[in-house]
Amino acid sequence: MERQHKPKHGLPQLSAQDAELVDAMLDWLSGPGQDQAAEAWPGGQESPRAGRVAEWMSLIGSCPVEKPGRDLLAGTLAKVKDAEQTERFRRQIEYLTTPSRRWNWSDMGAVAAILLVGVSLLWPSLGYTRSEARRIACANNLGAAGAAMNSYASDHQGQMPRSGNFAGVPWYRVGQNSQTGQTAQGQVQSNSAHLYLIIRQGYINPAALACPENEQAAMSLPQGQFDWPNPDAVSYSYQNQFTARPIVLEGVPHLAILADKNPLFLIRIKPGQQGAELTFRKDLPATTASRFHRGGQNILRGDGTVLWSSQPWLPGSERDNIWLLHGLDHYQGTESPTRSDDAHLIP
Amino acid sequence: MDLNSDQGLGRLTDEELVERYRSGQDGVFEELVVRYQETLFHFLMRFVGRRAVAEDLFQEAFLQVHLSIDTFDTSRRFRPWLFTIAANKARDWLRRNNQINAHVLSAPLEAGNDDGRQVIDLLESPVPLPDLTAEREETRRLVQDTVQALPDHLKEVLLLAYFQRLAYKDIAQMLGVPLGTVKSRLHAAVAAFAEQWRAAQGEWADQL
Repeated sequence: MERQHKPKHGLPQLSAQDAELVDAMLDWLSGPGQDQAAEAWPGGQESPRAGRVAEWMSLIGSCPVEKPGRDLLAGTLAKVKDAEQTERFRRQIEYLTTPSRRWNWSDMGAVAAILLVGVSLLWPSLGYTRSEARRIACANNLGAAGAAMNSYASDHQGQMPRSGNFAGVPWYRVGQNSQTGQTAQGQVQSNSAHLYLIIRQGYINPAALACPENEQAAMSLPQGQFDWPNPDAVSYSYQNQFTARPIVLEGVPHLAILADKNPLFLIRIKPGQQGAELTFRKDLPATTASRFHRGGQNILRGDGTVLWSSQPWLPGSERDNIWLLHGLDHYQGTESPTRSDDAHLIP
Repeated sequence: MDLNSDQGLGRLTDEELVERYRSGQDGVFEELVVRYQETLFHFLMRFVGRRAVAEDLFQEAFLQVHLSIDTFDTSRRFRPWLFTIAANKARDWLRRNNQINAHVLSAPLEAGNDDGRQVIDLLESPVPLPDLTAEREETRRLVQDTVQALPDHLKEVLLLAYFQRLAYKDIAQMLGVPLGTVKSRLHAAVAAFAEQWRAAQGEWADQL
């Protein structure tokens, strides 16, 4: 503004009468006149001086201002979400570095994931976008899971993690018996409970099976659990273990066994923990990508390699859709593979 | 009434929203941001005068709210606390970027000091407006420039008391100054505005 004018004797002061009237007006505006226009101040009618004060204040009040941009709300919420993410990683780091804990090699994958995502958050100049860093961290998680499964298999006659008796039991009741792991009849109720074995038996920690893009992922869980507490806490879909015979890991090197969450099945917990409801999303294309990462999913193969695929099948495979069973287009949640090369990752 | 629905949240006080946010309820923080989106942005925009800066400061203020939410005493009012955070952020920015309005900041404000300060009598000062043929927009822009040119410590009180309608005692608490200082700064802001405005009108008239 080129019209600034320097006062002759420093800051001017208001006459005592005007000061009193300004106070009265603002007292009204912050009280009974809170929701009214400044021009509505009743005191402005009481004297010529009061009227003049009202005119000046009205002029000041005409100061225009721009409206906030449309992205301000979204930008603000995103900033807070990033801060929450950073805090989650801080807690994860704190958990991993607890002095009393004994390190195992499967923690390394989790640490690598933390470092990658943490670096992307703290040093943007490295060139990773946050979504890329999270995708890579997620791939590291799957790598760690593959190694954990390999260790489990070594200790359990080569078998993939698989728990208990479950013939004909639905595979989608995640968390329904997270405390006991079984129905009253001794049956495991979810496919996620099979995967949970590697957490329960200490081959991997829960944080390493928490996708960075899953806001509901459980970073830590009480000891002795048999399953994740609810479907939303589960980040990864696991090969359907409700088969007649256990799957030998060594025998399926090229099979997809773990991946980002299957988008075609929605599980809703009924109020009051009265069971779960499965919805098969027939309205979505069979090639729908997992919802955690844009445009694709990380997939772990039986031989331990992790691949990124924009389609729900492994690159170079015969288009074996990892979300669905061969030849099936209707699901009740009790289906299982009839072929050893049919990947079906759930829930 | 479902207090968990969007409509339900809209009926809660700011302090009740804070309690719910602490308990982990979804959507509550967004309600708070929406509630103050215009008014807080206007305050910051008038204070620092730059849109991009005002938006950054707005986000930083709410980030600070999120980080400090557990320290907020819900027996007090949320609005002054929010504006305290925002004003602190704005002042810090002004200081870091050497944007402090150069003016006679040390001039004493208390009335009665015989320091030769000019006394503005508004009754003797008709509100001069630009030529009636001028666009209304010209007047508003001139008002904006004049407010923007006020010393920061006066402008801040003017914005909080007049535009944001916060009570003097709330402002005193926010700024950590006596109530009398808030009044003095407010009066000086109005006087400085009137003086600047008249001077600008005089110069403008000379140019015509």
